[in-house]
Amino acid sequence: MSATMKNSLKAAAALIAIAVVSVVLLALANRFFPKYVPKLDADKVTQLNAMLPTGADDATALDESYFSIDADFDLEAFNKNNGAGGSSVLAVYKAEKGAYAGSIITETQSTGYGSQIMILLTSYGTDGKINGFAAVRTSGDYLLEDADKYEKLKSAVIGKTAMTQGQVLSSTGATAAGSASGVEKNLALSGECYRAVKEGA
Amino acid sequence: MDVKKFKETALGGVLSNPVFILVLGMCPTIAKSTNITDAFALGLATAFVLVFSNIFVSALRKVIPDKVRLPAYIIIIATFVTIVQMFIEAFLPALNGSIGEFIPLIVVNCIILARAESFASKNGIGYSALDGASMGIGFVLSICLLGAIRQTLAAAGMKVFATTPGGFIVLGLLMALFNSLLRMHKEGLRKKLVKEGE
Repeated sequence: MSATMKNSLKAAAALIAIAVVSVVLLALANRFFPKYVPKLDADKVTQLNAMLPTGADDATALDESYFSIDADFDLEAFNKNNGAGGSSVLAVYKAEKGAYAGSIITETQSTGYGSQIMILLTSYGTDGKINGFAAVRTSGDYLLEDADKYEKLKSAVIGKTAMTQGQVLSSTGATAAGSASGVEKNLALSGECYRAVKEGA
Repeated sequence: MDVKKFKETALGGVLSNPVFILVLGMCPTIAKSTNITDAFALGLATAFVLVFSNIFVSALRKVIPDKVRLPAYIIIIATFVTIVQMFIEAFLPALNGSIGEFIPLIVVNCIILARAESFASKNGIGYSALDGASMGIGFVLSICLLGAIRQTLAAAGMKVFATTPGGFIVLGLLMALFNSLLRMHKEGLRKKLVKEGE
């Protein structure tokens, strides 16, 4: 074996070994950080009430169950068939009272091109069109953390059933954003979920 | 233990301050020093990565082939940056909203790569950890000072200091002040030594 080949193999082996150590370290770290578990608590009701104003204050909306979590929907089976590439539905809520009663709200997670993880709430009215949109969590997201772009996106998505990356970008005035793909995936998955919930109902 | 080397390494954050002397890591320094909270958080995240990447690079310096040292350093640095990112996402979601987009950029922060290349790859684990801590503290203090001044000036109505050009102006003035103070201190030490020699 030539010296060049030996050196190349040595370099590749060193890089692989370091990568393996890194993966082990990250896997260990991941075990110690709490995972996000969606629940219908006071914070979530406040967010839902802002997204789909019920007319009641947040405390009343919480106490009088203006929103409920759809425990009958089989999330695991749905995600097994539809979730891909880090996208999944985390929870399904229903608007029980108020002006938007009958709306179905999905909480979905997806990843953008730049590995931005985003958890979004998307609400569908009784006509099947989106009537509410909100970001629950984002990580270093260019579109959703810019207040102006976020508001523009929220306005643009209302009344639609889905949006492509191009539509997401043009509606916000952004020229390029890896997170646009995350928004597109989230909306596509939440649309599928909405139809599955309606079929099951 | 080599006392002189220990002293030099421990004072590295001041004598070779990454912001005011080495002028490294300017992108996050200017972008996130508009207020002291963001500046402190980003500084702390950078310092954490600096300490641990220095320790790992030093520990692995004899097994990393010279030709692939830079990709190896990047993998090590990226690992610690990812851990910081996971921590902030899990425990500090509000902070994640304000500095989240700058956390992945720590991977390419010149301060970290420069310390890995120029110090950690040539020194033992103890000194490398000390160098990382010293440089990290130096970076935190520098970016916090810059953040505090910019925030105060902006709050006093001088909004230009909240912008990038304003940030460069404050940074330039602070660099001039820091360097002249350091020069005066060195001159004082030199005069003292000359006097003692006489």
